[in-house]
Amino acid sequence: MPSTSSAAEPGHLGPGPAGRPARLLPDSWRPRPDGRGQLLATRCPRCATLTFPAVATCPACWNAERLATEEVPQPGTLYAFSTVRVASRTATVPYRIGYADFPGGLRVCGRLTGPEVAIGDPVEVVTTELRPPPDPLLGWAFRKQEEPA
Amino acid sequence: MTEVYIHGTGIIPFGRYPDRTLEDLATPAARAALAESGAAPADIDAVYCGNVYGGMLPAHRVAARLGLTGRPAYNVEAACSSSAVALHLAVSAIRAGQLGTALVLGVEQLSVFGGGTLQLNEADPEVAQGLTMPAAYAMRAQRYMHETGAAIEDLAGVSVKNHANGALNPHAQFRAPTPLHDVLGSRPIADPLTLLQCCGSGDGAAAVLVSSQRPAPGPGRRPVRVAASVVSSGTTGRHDLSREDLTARVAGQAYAQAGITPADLGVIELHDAFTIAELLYYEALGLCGYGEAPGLLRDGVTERSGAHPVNAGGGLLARGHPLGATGVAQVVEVTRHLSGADTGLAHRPQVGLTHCTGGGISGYDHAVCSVHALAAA
Repeated sequence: MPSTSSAAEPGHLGPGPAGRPARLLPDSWRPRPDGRGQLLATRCPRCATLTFPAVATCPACWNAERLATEEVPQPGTLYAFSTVRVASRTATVPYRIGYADFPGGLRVCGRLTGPEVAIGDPVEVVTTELRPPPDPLLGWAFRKQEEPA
Repeated sequence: MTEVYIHGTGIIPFGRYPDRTLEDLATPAARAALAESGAAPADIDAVYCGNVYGGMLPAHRVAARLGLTGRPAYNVEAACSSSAVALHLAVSAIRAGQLGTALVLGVEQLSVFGGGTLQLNEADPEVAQGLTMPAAYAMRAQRYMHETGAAIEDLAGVSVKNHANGALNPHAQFRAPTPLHDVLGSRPIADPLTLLQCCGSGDGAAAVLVSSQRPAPGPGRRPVRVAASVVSSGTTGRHDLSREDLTARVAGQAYAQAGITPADLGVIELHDAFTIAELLYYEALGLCGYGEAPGLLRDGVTERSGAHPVNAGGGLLARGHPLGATGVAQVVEVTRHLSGADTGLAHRPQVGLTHCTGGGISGYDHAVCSVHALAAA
């Protein structure tokens, strides 16, 4: 997790456009106007390693030049999840959290929203409020993908 | 290579002591280890202390109480492995000939936080999403059950065994036997884990004196040596939640260093912060194959009466898990089993193993894993 103040390193918290709530890992996803979300990973042009969350330096080969941002394809596949009933002081329980696998070998942690899920379900990325006002934090969540009509 | 021996052990009853200081907790454990070793103040070349949440300079604060100032003192933070890593550094320095004798402490006071789940770094992205320690292990439990067909009763059996062991341990924080029905019926924490499948919050301290000098055997007391000491960080990236590659790798290095195999382990203290963890670690330590841990537990192999007793002192689930104290507490327990006192195991062990992990940050499987092998010398 980057924690330096170097301008080149992506921060893990950052403001949205003026007046909007803070966003978790703002370089690693973006909300879409329809409420869905798009995860963003970094591809190293030298060793082809794909890294999520986004990085300024490839952790595999230390290359810091021409790193490319790639949209992570959806849907993902739910790998594991839990309904959390006791949490630390800030979270409101119960909530569901899980890991989803995405093409490219990424296993990403996220909240779960929407209907009941099972391991192996296809999931899409949506926008969610990880922390409520007065200090809201926007992030991504996974939601079971509807069957095609 | 210089051999390293354990000369003295000390531990306080784990519990909740909100009205004491960190120094109050660590000093009696240190004094017990020093008294057992027969050491004088001038014999101690360095002091190492593992601690997570106790603030600045715990090694120095305790050393002042013990009159062990004017020499190297080191503070080590490695989450739940803090004092295991402190021991590793002391052993490494003795092996390298940099010092002869060191006091290694582990101490933690979680009661000052009240209760509940550990306070992790809220700036961490996965923590910000709500990934608590119970949630992380709950997902490992769910995935393991999904892949292997293990039942929640299989996991809960770990809690039943370890609480039964804790009932026999005067240093354990939780000494009430807990039948299966109580474990399964306790408060849900993170599905499928219930309260009695999670280690509690508490305070504790433990200490060992380690030295290059071989101790003189006393009546009914065998010297114990450190046969292996291995530490590694975990890895970032994609991890298989139902298998524990980090522990397997670190234990493999420890087996090679000690010249032993899993079959030699007559007593084991491992990091059962949650019930599922103990099952995963049976497999990672090589006591059985993938998916076979529930059978190993059911067959009694890891009971006090079995061939490979695991967490005979109650483990983290019953002895308690004051983070910084755990690594050395495990070594204290295993040393006492090996040194020859009758500790109630059916088979007298010749070789023992201690295992800690530590985590709570994004990306890693665990941030750290540490394994020590101890042998009657």
